[in-house]
Amino acid sequence: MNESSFSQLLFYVLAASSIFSALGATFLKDFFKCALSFIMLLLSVAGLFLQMNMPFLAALQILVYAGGITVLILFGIMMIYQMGAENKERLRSVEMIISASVSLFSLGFVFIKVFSSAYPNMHIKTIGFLSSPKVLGESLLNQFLLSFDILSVLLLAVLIATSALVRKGSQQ
Amino acid sequence: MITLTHYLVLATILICIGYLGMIVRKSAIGMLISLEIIFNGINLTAVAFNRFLYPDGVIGQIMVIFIITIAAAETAIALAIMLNLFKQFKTIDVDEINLMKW
Repeated sequence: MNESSFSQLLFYVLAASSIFSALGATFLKDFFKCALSFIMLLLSVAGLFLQMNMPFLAALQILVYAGGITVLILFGIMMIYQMGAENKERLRSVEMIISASVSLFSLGFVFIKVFSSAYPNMHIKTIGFLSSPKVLGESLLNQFLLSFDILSVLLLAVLIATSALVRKGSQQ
Repeated sequence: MITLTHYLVLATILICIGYLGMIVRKSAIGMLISLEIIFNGINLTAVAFNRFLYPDGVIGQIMVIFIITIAAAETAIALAIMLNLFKQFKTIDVDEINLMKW
C-alpha cells in the first residue's frame, strides 16, 4: 500500500469515527457515555489535524479540549447528578423528527451543491507542507498580539466570574 | 487524494449534527456538548482552508487557537451557571426553567 492510499484510508477512518462519535454524543441518553463519546470525537478531530500536518493544533486539541474541557463537563455532570438530578434524559420526539428531516434535507442540498459545482481540487503546494509551531508562535506574538492580550484579559475575567458565581451565599 | 472538499463535507456533517443536538436535547449539559461539536466543525473548516488555500499563512490556525480558548472559558461559565440553576430549580431541563418566559 503506497503512501497516498494509506493517507486516504486514514482520512476515511478518522471521518467515520468522528461522525459516529458525534452522533453518539448527541443521541446517547446516559450523560457519562455521552461525554466519553465526545472525547472520542475530539481525539478524531485531533487526528485529522495531524493528518493536515498541524502538530501544534493537534497537541492543543488533546491538551485543552480532551484534557481540560471534557474534565470540566464530566465534573459538572457528576456534581449535578450527585445532587440528585435524573441521570437519563428523554429526548424530544416530534421536534426530533422535524429537525432531523430539515437537517438531512439541508445537508443533502449542500452535498448536491458541492459535488455539482466546478470547485477546483486544491492539492497545490501541499506536498512538503508542515506548519511549524515556531512560525505560529511568532505570528501570535507579533501580528496578533492585541487579540492575544484581550484573550488573556477575558480568561482572567472568566476566572473571577466563575468563582463569584459558585461562591457560597451568592444566592441571597 | 484527499482534497479540501472532503474536509468541508465532514465539517458540514459535524455542524449539522451539532445543530440537531441543540434542538433535540432537553438538558443544558447535552446542549453544551452539542455546542462543542459545532465548534469542532468550525475549527475543522478554518484549518482546512488554511491548509489547502493558504499553506504559507497561519491565520486559520490562530483562529482555531482563539476558538479553543473561548470555548474553554464558555464551558467554565456555563457550568457555573448550571450549578446555580440546579440549586435554584432542582433541574437543568431547559423546558422547566421558564423564569424569564412571558
